[in-house]
Amino acid sequence: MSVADIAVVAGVRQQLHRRRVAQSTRRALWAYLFISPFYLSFVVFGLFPIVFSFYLSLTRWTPYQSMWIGASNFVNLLQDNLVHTALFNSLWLMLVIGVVQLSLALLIAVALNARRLHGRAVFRGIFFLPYITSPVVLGLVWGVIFAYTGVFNFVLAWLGTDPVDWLGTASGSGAWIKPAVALVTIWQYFGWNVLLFAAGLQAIPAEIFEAARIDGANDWDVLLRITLPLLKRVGFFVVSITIIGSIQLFDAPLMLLGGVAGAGSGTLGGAEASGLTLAMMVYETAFNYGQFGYAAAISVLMFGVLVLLTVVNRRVFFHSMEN
Amino acid sequence: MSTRTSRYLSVAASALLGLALVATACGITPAPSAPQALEPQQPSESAAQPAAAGADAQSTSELTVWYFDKVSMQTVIPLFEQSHPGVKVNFVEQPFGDMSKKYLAALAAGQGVPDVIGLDTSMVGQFLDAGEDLLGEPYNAGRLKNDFVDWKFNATVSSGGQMAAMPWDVATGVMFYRPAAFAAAGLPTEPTDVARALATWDDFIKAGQAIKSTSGGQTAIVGNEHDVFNAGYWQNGGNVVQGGSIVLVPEGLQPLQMAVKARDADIGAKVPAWSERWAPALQSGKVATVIMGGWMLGNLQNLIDPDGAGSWRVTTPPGGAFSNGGTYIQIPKLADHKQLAWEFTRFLTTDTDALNAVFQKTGIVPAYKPAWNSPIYDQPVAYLGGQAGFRLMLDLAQQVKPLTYSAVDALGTDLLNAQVDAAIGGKVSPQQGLQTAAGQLQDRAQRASDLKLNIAPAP
Repeated sequence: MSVADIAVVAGVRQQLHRRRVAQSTRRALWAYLFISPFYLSFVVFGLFPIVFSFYLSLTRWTPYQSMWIGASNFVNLLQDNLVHTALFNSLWLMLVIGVVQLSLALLIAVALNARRLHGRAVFRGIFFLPYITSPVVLGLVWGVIFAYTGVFNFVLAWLGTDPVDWLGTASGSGAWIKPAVALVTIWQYFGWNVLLFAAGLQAIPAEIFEAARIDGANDWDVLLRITLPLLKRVGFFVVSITIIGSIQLFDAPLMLLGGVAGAGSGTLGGAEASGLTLAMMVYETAFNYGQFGYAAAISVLMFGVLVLLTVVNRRVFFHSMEN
Repeated sequence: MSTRTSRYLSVAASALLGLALVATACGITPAPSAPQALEPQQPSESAAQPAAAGADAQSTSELTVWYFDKVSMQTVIPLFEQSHPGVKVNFVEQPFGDMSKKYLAALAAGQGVPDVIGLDTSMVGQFLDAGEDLLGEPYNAGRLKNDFVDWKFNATVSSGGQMAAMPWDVATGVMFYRPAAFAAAGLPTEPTDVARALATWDDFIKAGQAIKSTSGGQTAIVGNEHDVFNAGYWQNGGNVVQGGSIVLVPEGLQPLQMAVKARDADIGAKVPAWSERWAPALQSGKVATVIMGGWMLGNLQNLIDPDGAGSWRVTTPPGGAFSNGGTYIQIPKLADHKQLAWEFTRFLTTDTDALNAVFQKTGIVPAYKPAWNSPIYDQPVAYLGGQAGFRLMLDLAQQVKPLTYSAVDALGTDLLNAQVDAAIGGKVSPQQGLQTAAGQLQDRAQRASDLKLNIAPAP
C-alpha cells in the first residue's frame, strides 16, 4: 500500500469517526432533551428548595428582615426545649410506630400468603383502605373517636372503666397523646406495608419452599430460615420508608391536635407539647410565627436525623445480609 | 469518544443549570425592609375629601382584597364599586386558617401581596410591620380617630406612633345564654337580672353548680374551664406583650386561678370551644352559655343552632366588658395600588351606609361610632326572643380595657394555651404555668427573632 493509499484510508477512517461522533452527539442531545423536563423541574422544585433551605437556616429570615447570622440558629435550637421535646416525640413515635406497624404488617402479609386462604384480594383491599383515606377525614373521624366525650370513652364507660383523656383536652395531661397519634398512624399505614411485604413474599420462588418441605422443614422452619431471610431487601425498604415517614409525621398530629384554625391558635402539639413532632414544629415556626430561618434550621436538623437513621438502618440490614 | 462527548454535554448542562440556579437565586426578592413611597396624590386631603380622592383613585381601576368572610365583602364591594365608577374590586376569599399563612409567605417572598387585607385580631400582631403607617402621609387616619372606639383605634398604634391597620368592628364580648336552662336551675332569666345575678365569676361558678345539679349533670354552664380563663384574661386586656414586657403572668394569673376554681366546682361540660363536639353541645342545650364576641350571634343563628330562634338571650358577661376577635384592615407596604386601597379601606371602615349594610347582613358591629346613630341597633332581634341586644354591645364596647398587639402574639397565645390547659388539668399551679409560658416566649422570641423581652411579675 502506497503512502497515498494510507493517507486516503486514514482520511476515510477519520471521516467515519467524525460521523460516528456527530451521530452519538446528536443521539445524546436528543436523550438530554427528552429527560430535561424532569431534571429541570427537579432542579427548580426539588434541588433548589433543598439548597435554599440550607441557606435559609443560616439567616434570620422573617417577612421583614433577612440577615446572615451563620450558625446561630443551630446553636439556639440545640438549647431550645421545644426542639428537644419535638425530637424526643418524633423518635418515640418512630420507634413505637415502626415496631408495631412492621410486626403487624409482616404478620398479616405472611398470613395472607398462606396457601389455603380464600378471598386474599378482599383482605388486601380492606387493609389498604385506610391508606387511601384523606388525612383530613381521618383527623375528623379520629377526633370524634378520641374526644373526651367520644366513642372510645363511651365504650370504656360501658365497660365500667374511667374515661381516658386521649388528646389531653380535659385534664391538660399529654400522657395519652403520643399513643393516640401512633394508633392513628399505624392504622393508616400498616396496609401499605402489608402490600409491600406481600409483594416481597410473592417474589420468593415457590421452588425454594417446596425444596425445604421435601427436606422436612415445618412451617416455623420455613418462616424463620427461608421467608424472613429472603424478605430482608424488602424489609430494608419498608423500614427505611417507615423511619422517614415517622420522622416526617405531620398530618395526623396536626389534625388531631391542631385546634382552631388561624394564627395563634396552633396548639404546639397539644397538652405538654406531647404531640409536637419536628415536622409540625417546622410548620408552626415558619407559617404561624413567621420565623422562616429558624424553621429552616429545624428542617436541616430533621434532615440530619433522617440521614443518620437511614445510614444506621442500612448498616444493620446489609451487615446482617453479608453475614 | 462518545463517552467524552457525553461528559462535555453533562458539564455544559450542569453549568447551564448552575447558571439558571444562580439567576433564580438572584431573582429572589429580599424580604421587605422599607416601605415603598406612595406617589404624591394630594395626601392630606384624602381623609377629609373622599370624593376627590375617589376620583384620583379611578386612574388605577383594579384592587385585590383578601378576607375570610364572603358575606360582608359581597355586601360592601358592590356599594364601593357603585360609588367609585370604573373601579373593580377583586375579592379573594381566603380560608380563615390559611389566610395568615398565605400572607406571611407572600410577604416573605416579596410578591403576591394583596392591596387590602382584613386581619382577624389573632393575626394582626404578626403583621404590624407589614402595613403602611396609616397615621402618616398620605393617609392621615388620625383625623378619624375621634369617631372610632378609642381602645380599638389605638390597639394597632406602635410605641413609635405608627398605625398598621384600621379597625373595622368592635367585637365586644358578651354572654349568650339559654333562659330555659337558667329557669330550670331557679336562676333569673331576664338579661338585666342575669347580668346582676352573675356579675362576678364567683357568681358564675355558683350558677354553674346550680345548673349542673338541677339538670342531673346533663347541662353545664360552660363548654370547659378554659373559656372562663379566656374571658377573664381578655377582661384584663388579653395582652401578650406590653411596653416590651411579657404580661402573661399579671394579666393571666387571676383568670387562671378562677378557671381552676371552676374546674374544682366541676361546672364545665369538658367540651373545648370550637372542637367537633362543641357545636352539637350548644345546639342540644348541654352547654347553657357562650361567652365570646358579639359576632357569635351570627354563628349561633346561621351555623350552630339555626332552629334555636327564641332560645337564646344576650347579656353582660360576668366580670364586665372585654373584646374578643374582630377585624383590622391593612394596606400592605408591598401593595400595588395604595391610593385606591386607602379609598376602599376608608369606605369599608367609615361609610355608615356600608357599615350598617354589613351589620344587617352579618351582625358585625362597627367600631366607627357615627354608624351607631342608626335605629337598626335598637331593633328587636327575633333570634334573641325579641331582645334589642345590639345596643348592649355598643355600650359595652366603650368599657373595654386598652390593649396592644405584638409580633409574638401568635406564639405567646399558643404557649399560654398549653400552660392554661396544664394548670386546669392540675399538672402545674397557675403561677407556675404562666411563668413557664412567659419564660418559653422570652426564650423563643430572643432565639428566633432576636427580640429581647422582659417578663412582668405577678401583680
